[in-house]
Amino acid sequence: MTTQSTFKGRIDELEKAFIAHPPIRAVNFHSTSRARQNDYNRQLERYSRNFSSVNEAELREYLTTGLWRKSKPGLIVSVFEGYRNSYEILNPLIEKHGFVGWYWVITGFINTPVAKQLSYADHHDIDMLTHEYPDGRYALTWDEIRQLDKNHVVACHTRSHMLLSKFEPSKRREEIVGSQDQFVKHLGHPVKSFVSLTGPPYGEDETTDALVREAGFEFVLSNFRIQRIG
Amino acid sequence: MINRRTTLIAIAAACGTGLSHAALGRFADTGSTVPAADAPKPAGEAELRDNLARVGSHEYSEEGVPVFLACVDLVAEQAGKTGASPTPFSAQIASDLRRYGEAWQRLHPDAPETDAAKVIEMLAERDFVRGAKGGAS
Repeated sequence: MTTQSTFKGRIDELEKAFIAHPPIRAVNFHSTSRARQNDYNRQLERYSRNFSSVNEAELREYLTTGLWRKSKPGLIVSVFEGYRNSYEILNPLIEKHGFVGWYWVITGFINTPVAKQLSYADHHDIDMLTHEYPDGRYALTWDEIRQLDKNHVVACHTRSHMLLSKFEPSKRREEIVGSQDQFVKHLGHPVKSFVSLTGPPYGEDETTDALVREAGFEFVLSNFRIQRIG
Repeated sequence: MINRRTTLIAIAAACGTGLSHAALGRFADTGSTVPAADAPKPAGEAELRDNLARVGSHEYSEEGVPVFLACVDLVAEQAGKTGASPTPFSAQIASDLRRYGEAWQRLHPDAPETDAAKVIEMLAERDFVRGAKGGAS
């Protein structure tokens, strides 16, 4: 698999991907500010009329067999980065409307001391239009992630949200395997799903692929694909 | 993030006012490609314009953005087996992606690779607004 560097090449690549594989719908959230709480509620309420939740086991079955056992199509609700407002604002709405959240967590953001989280976000492409927490905590805590882990999907979004292709292999190991080690330490088990910044697919870089395999991930999310790799 | 909004507004504007009826015919659900001079207003054109305008007004950092994902079973493929079969909805997404992509490139021959992502998002937005009538899963 190679990255197509032109618009037409990318369209061709995506067309081939979609024509040969079953699709699933997803919605991507990032920061979910309190000011937009009512909008999120309306959006998820609307989706709940037409879609149903998807967990990793259901995705695995659909992806391997094509079977979808629910009456409504599945919708993966992805929530990226590990913002505090994912837990406080969006997650209650996700649960209210019967969905499973897929929380793609940047472990370095979580492990950053509260006083440095805004600065960390600024330097790691973690968008934050709204600064709504006077106490300065903008990332999830591990306690909150453990709560999410009970009924939702917690997944790895690397250690520091940087382009993996810019790192030497040893640093890349920290980003992938090191991040998985953090989940094992704090959740008591490895997580199954992985995505890196800008979402390059599995199969583009053997060094990265080997580390993703070593970390034990089963699913790799990329731009407009979700791949089962192990 | 920044470029995405601009691009989607441009796509919406182009499809609403910049394209000929023939081009709009290629956008329409019917897939009609009748010549511009004889073309009736394609069915769904107004709806399409509305959907595109809605997508173009998103604030992506704080809004939920609909997309499609192709579900790829590399384990099966690497074992020489086929994964789950594509569905009729797979073909519909691929066909729409082709038609919208061609129309966009006619308007913008130098469109960057990243614009392809915007086309997918636009199609997904339309599908979600319609209430997922495009396919069972």
